[in-house]
Amino acid sequence: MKNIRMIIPALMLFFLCGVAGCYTILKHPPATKAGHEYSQEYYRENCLDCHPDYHEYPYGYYYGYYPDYYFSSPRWGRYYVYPWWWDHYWYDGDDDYIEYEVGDAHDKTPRSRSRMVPPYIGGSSSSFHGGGGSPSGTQKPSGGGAGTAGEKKSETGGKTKVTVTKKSDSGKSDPSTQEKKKEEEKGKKGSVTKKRRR
Amino acid sequence: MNRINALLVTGLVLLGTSTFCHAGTIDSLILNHEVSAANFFGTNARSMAMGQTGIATSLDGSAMIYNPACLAKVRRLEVRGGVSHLRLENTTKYDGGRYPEYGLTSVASTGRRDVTKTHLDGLSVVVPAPTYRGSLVFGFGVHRLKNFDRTFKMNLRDQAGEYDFIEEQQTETESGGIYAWSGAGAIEISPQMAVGAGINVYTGKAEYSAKYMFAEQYENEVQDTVYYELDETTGIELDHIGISGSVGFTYQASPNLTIGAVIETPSFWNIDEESLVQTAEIYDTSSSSWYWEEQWPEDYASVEYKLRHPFSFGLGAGFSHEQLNLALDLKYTDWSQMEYTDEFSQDLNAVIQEHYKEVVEVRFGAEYVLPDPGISLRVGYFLDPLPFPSAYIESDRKYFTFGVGFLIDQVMTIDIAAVIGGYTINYKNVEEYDPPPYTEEYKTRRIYLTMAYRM
Repeated sequence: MKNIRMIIPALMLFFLCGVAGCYTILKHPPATKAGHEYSQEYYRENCLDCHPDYHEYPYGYYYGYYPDYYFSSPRWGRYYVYPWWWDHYWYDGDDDYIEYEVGDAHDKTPRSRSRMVPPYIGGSSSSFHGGGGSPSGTQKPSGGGAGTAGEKKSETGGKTKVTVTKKSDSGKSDPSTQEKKKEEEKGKKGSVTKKRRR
Repeated sequence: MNRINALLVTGLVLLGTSTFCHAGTIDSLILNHEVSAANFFGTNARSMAMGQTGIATSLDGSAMIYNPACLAKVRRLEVRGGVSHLRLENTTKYDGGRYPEYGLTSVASTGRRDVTKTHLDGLSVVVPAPTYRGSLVFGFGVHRLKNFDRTFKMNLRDQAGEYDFIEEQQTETESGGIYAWSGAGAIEISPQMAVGAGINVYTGKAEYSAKYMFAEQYENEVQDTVYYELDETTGIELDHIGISGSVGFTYQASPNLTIGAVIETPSFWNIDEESLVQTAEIYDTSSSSWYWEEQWPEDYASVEYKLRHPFSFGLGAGFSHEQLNLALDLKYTDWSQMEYTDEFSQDLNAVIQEHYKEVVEVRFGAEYVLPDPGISLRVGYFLDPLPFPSAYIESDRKYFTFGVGFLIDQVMTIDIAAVIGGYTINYKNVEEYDPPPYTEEYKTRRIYLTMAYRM
């Protein structure tokens, strides 16, 4: 028993040190606008409304280094990379489920499992780097497997970043945020500028 | 050779070829080392096909064993299970001519025996927690980490003429293994770094049985033919229970390079040993119409002792470029720091400190992925040194590995691995009544099959 008393506390202390003040975020900090509080589901589905740079470091996903074939042959990416909480059934029955257009603009195809596009890519006009990045990365934007308009693909040493441009705003975001965006876009020249975080 | 000398040789030969070293001579301790030491069988077909690597390159629940920090790479709920199959061939060769002073020549000096076993390799469940950023993953499972399956056969006969001979035969069978019941967790602490920790509870059993026969026949001073036979059956059962922990981290240094490190804490074992020895002797002479047979009382013994394995330190690197993945692992353990911690076994610790050694396991593997058909081709090699002096080792444990993996649809993988190799140990006659010099050669072939389903 003395041995257990030595090992377990040491391991727990090590683990807690890793968790405390950690990079990993399990729960979105509460954010209120005009006195309105939002649910965790809202934060998950509409993060681009407040974080247009969510696709960049250090947020979002695919910012790690993944081989090109994870995106060009999406079943590899679906198996090894695509988080289970992004799957269709996570939003099943949710009226706020976002659908996005793929291919023909008149078609609305439910998100299929073969895609590597995160679920919060639904309607805003921002772009998403699906292939990851790093604070000092020199990767060029690249893509594979998303299939939406504005997709660019490039490779760096076999590692892929996917750029996906949303076609339209699905209108599922908070009205106050929508208004704020319209105000911001008035001052823009109609294109999104990609910035590299230093 | 008179009867007293025959019995003395018998006893020393039996001890010298016994697998369980707790109550043996120094040479027995060295040659037939503590069965739970340096006996990692390996788990998970993908890791085994890639040379038993995994410190930086594990991608599934087997990370609980190789490096818990690698669990952070798992993004989907995973259920994984597998089986392993072992075929072991033992060939023992003795240097002939043990009794030239009696005019006997060797007519048989080789023993050969095979054993095959199939076991559950492991079962595990991995549960990633939903995150907004980073990764938090937990894993639980059971894996077969140590294998005690072994067989041995000795067959010696020295003969002069038609009637004078000395014959010895011994057949040993060992079975069992150690399962690790593991729980582990991993978390990303930066975009490129993850840490993990795990705890393992070990349970298992080792069963040993041996049958030894010594027989001699000679003509005595009055030209009477004398026949003597000794038969001994030994059964030993050891119940193991132990505990250890591990901590590890991974760091993605560049798009192509991942580095991992793991520290395994000392493991603490409690071992219950029960043994039973049954002996019978037969003595017969040609001039008498009677023969003498004695059945010795059964010798039953039960002992409990404690054992501590030392720290192990592992360092791994994974390099990937497009569809090619390479892995290299190094693992260091100083087995001279292994010790029995009960008060009755302290004399053995001095032997361990003097004769056991530090070892560095070297593991290398490669994987090439064919994305469209969903196939991965794997090869590897690993060196798993024995923990006792090299003077006894003619050929150390080295294995070649190869295997294939299939990604089925986007939810299941099936991996198959084959491991081929073995080792040879050499015992040299040191003392007058030591067993004759002999070479034990072990060839093993292992097959692993692992299936994983991700929801």
